[in-house]
Amino acid sequence: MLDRPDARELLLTARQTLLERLLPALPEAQRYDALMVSNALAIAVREVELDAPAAHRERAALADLLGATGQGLDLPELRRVLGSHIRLGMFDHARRDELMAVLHASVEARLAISNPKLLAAGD
Amino acid sequence: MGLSPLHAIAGDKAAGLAAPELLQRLEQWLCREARATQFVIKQISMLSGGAIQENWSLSAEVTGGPHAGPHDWVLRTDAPSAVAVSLTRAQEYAVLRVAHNAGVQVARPLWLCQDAQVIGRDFFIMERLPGIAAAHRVTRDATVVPDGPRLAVELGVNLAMLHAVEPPNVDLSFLPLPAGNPALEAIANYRAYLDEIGSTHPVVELGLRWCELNAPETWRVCLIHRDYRTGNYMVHGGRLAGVLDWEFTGWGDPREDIGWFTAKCWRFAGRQRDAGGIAGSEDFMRGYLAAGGSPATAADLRYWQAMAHLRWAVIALQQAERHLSGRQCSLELALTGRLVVDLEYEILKLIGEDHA
Repeated sequence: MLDRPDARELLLTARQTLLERLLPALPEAQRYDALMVSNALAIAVREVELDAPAAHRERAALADLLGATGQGLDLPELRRVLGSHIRLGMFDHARRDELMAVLHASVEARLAISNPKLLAAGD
Repeated sequence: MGLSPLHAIAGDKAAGLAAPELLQRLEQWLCREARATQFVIKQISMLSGGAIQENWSLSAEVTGGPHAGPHDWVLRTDAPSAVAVSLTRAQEYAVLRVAHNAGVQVARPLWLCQDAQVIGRDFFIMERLPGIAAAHRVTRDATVVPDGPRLAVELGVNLAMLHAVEPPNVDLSFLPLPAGNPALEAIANYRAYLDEIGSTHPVVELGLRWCELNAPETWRVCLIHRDYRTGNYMVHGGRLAGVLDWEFTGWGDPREDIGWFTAKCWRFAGRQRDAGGIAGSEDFMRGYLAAGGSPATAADLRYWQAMAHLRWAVIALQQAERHLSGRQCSLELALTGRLVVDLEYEILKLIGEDHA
């Protein structure tokens, strides 16, 4: 971080201003847009907090799963290669449990950023 | 593919249809169609606008002819920047007529206009259904739906009436018949879309692979709605007033509609109530079977719910891509992209039960 307030602090304050000062003054027709802005800011805050370690963990897990094929690839490339292997049936039987564990971890880490309420609901 | 907006964009901006010379041409056309001596549009305003369609509410006073009297109608037309991804308005009008004639509760379609001299784009007029569609209220507010099971039964009956329509049908000759297994055909389409946008979603791939390996035999092809869900029907006085949004209708496996209706992603505030967030699926299926629908097993429900989440995930990725590509800057489309992980979560749960 180069300066304070940092990105996370600015986003939090922007969201608070939106909810406490702007939203009550907005006509009904604009409420939905304002709530979407609030949601987008909340996601951005959690992404600033959680994204780097989650991406690091997923990259390591996918590289491990793909072995030599995954050498030196970045996360989007690893995901794309894994997707094509799944489509070809390479995980139909062998290493399926391992695959499921990696995908569960990825989804939970991303849900913690974009929609933690769904994880908390646990249904 | 688009989905009907989850909210109505209110407003009566004088965009498009409200221009005086255009209104006059519309009045003249309606006067002829209604075989009236005089036709006055008293009020016209946009009900909801999406990237694909616009719905305008139209209040009219008709003098003379079979429609004499005051009327509240809806004019449905293409948005000015429409992209051809679903049925055309003329095709949707034909589908509405077939559904209406089959006894399905829909807004009665009245007239179709394909003369570009009138408003410059195709449109049709239908009756305006009373009530509300907003999914969050339908699944949460007991004053809107005091008896969820009763509404679910009505929705089941209604879907069975639609599914009684079978090919061939001369009025629907523009709808393609599935060439082979409809599920496998859908999976191939979804994969083509994913490749087109360069998707990086292994969970979606795993879901598609599971659905490919477990694709059921289709014993029957019939007319299916393809967006039959809470949010797309009107509730009035606690009862079903009619089903909206027929732009994705086609020939397919009837269980696709049942899976879509009961999928967790369309339950809104009622996540534990598997019939669209309003009741249990046993209520919905009771109505469906009573009106002649075929039974769906627990395995059918699970399979087609997985397909529902996969289809919605593919649509959501396409919608996000519209934003990301710069074609249409929209916060709603952008946030739809972040909804995909919710769907992945449900897909993993649905296909992971094998291991339990």
